[in-house]
Amino acid sequence: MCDKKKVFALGPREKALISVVGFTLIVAVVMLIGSRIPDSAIMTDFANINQAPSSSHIFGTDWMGRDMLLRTLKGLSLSIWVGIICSLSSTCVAVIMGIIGPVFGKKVDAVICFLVDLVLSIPHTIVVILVSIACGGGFRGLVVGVAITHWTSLTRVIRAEILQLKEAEYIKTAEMFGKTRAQICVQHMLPHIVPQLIVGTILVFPHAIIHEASITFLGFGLPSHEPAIGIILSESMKYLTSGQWWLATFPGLTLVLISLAVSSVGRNLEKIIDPAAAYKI
Amino acid sequence: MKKKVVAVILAAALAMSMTACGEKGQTSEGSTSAAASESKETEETKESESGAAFGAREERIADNEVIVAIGSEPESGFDSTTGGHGSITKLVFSTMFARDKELGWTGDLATDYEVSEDRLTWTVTLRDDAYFTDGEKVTADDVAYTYRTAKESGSDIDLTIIDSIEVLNETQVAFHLTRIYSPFIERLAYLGIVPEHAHDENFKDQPVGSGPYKLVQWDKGQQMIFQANQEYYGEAPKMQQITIALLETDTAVAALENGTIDVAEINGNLASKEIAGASVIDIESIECYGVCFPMVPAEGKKAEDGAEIGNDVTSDLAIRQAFNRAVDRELMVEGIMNGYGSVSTTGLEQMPWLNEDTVLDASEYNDIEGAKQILADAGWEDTDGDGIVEKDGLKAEFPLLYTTGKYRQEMALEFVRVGQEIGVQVDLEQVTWDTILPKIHTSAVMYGFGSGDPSELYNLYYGGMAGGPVAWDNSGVYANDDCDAAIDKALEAEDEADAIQYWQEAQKYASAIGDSPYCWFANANHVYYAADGFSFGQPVVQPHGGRIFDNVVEWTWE
Repeated sequence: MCDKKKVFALGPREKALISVVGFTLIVAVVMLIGSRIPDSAIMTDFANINQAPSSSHIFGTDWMGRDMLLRTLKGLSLSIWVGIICSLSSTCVAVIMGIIGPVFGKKVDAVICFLVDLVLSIPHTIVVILVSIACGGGFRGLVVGVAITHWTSLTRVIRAEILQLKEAEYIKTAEMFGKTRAQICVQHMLPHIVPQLIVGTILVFPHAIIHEASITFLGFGLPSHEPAIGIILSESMKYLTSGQWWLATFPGLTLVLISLAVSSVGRNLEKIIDPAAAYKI
Repeated sequence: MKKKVVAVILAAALAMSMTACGEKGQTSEGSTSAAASESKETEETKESESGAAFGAREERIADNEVIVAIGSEPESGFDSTTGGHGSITKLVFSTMFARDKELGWTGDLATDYEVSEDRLTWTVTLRDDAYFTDGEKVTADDVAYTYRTAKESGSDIDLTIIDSIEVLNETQVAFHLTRIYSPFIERLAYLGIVPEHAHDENFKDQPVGSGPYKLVQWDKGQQMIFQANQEYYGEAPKMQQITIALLETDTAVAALENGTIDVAEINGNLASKEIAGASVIDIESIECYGVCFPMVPAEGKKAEDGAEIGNDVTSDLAIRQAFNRAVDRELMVEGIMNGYGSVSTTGLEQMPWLNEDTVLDASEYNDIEGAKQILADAGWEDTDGDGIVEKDGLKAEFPLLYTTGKYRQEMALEFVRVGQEIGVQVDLEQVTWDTILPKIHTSAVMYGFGSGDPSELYNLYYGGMAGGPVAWDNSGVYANDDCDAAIDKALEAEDEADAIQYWQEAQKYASAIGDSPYCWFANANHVYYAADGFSFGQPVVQPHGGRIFDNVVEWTWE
């Protein structure tokens, strides 16, 4: 009896661990399936246009007879790729900015703070649109646009952390031993902020994919024959008045679910690895 | 103590960054909810308006007025000397000649024309009773002024063929040409005549013309209101007022449903929707869609604007023939256009100058096996088992460019699918008419054509047109001496009727039975939803872009 209870009554740490593993698996599987769907599977099929969801087409078909489930999966995998690239590159920028600001003196810090404020003060969507047009549009423009707008909040977190570290005893000791600033940054500060970094990276991800979808929805991202979620949603607007609800509903829902899943991975991971939060559970 | 201070600072910094985040989230949420409440409001006003609008339609019918969502506003304004604006010109302006209902010619401002012995001078006689809406008479000077100004401004209508313009008297004007050009009358049909005395910088916003209507109000991006010109020399317009509402198609359909507007231009695939009090008006057109192939191999040649020319795959006749053989046009008409269209294999169906022998019949397309056979006979073979054929180490793969616009994406995707079935990989790429230019001669391009003029054959298939100032004229760089010779003969013919035999000869080469420079798909009908009782009269043949306003005087409530 007692043993059984132990097996099923999971502690908060185990729960967090399970949800991290579970949701990561879901996202990975969606990404894998999506990227393995060949283009030939979502070709036009005019014999099967505008079909409501059924057992053969779970998400229905669009006005060209393309299967919406496959298009959605392919779109999601594309979104996840955008999310991964953007969150990784944002993190790199944030690490560099966040560390060199406090470490390399007031002037550098002021410039970095100014940059952060500058990017934060303009609505993301507008910046992403401008940048992606300037970079020639398409996948590259989109990724660059999303990446250079999402590093700011993480930069602030890291900068604050480093500011605190600078005053720490062991850093001061290292300074007295004659270590250079660069050595201190890499050997002593960087390891300390790894938990924030990992969690921050994951939490940028949902932001990035939602922005990707909204930019493509507005028509500034990928070309309209690509199966991106934003494109699927904007296409569906034309057919909502004629009652084809499934075109928007399922792709929209899956996008929200993927974002929530990743967000939950981030939050739970924070519970597990962040020393400041980990002791609570 | 120090630690505490740092902690406080840290907390403050964190809090700041968090509030920044929070604020962002809130504002975006706030703005969406604001937008939502706004749209709710507009919906409410729409609803309350629609109640009134149903009454208003009755009023409009009683007053002979109509609100339509057809066409778009001319980007550069209503100045016909700086830009063609399609059919909408015909509301405000008169042209010299006009196409009649059988694609023949009829005079508008002109009553007659005469071609000189050497065929280099065209003398046009104008009617004596035409007045601009400001009361001044339309004279030969205005005609000469219009054409001179348009020629200098480099308007959309190519007038480089005109050498000089001579005013003979008040009603006669002579055009001297640089070369013999039998379809010159076309050039006299699309340019609205502007008054020399009133043509100033404000003209494009407040045009003065001699057409059946005058522009009385233009709220840019919203609507244009035209009132009947009571002094119009031709058949008196039946509608006293025409308002063009500038709406997107789906908004227009919604507005039609609630009675705010009376006519909406739609796509074929929206036409299956039932709307109470309105019905579909389906007008056949010669707006033809097809794919243009690069005809020459890539040998490093460049066009006038520096764009590269040629594609090694599509320059192989077998590839082009295979696509012409394989594409299922019926499916496109039914699946993409919802049946509101007709099959086209020549791009010239319904035109008097069509060479019937070049038309493919239903057994000569939608034939995947036949297409594969054509490829196999020409030595294209799938040697590495990837489903794509190769020949001499060259993979059968080429890019296809398309622009946004009705039916284009769907047709392009279907073309890609057909390619896959016959073992040719087509890489789809979306472009705009600006970004297309560097790639236009090296890629297949999805086009919509159909001007309703035989000179289109000259634009599309004449060797000398390629790589010239208009990039999409013969963008595939097709050049066949026999075809060019036939086109030369057609241009040098006495008149359009005499030229027809030569135009037909040219098609022997420039068609699917010849060199297959294009793969034509279908003509798209022009489809409208119109409130019951509204009639367009009998529209003229509708080309690409439409000529729906050409018979605007016949529009009526029955």
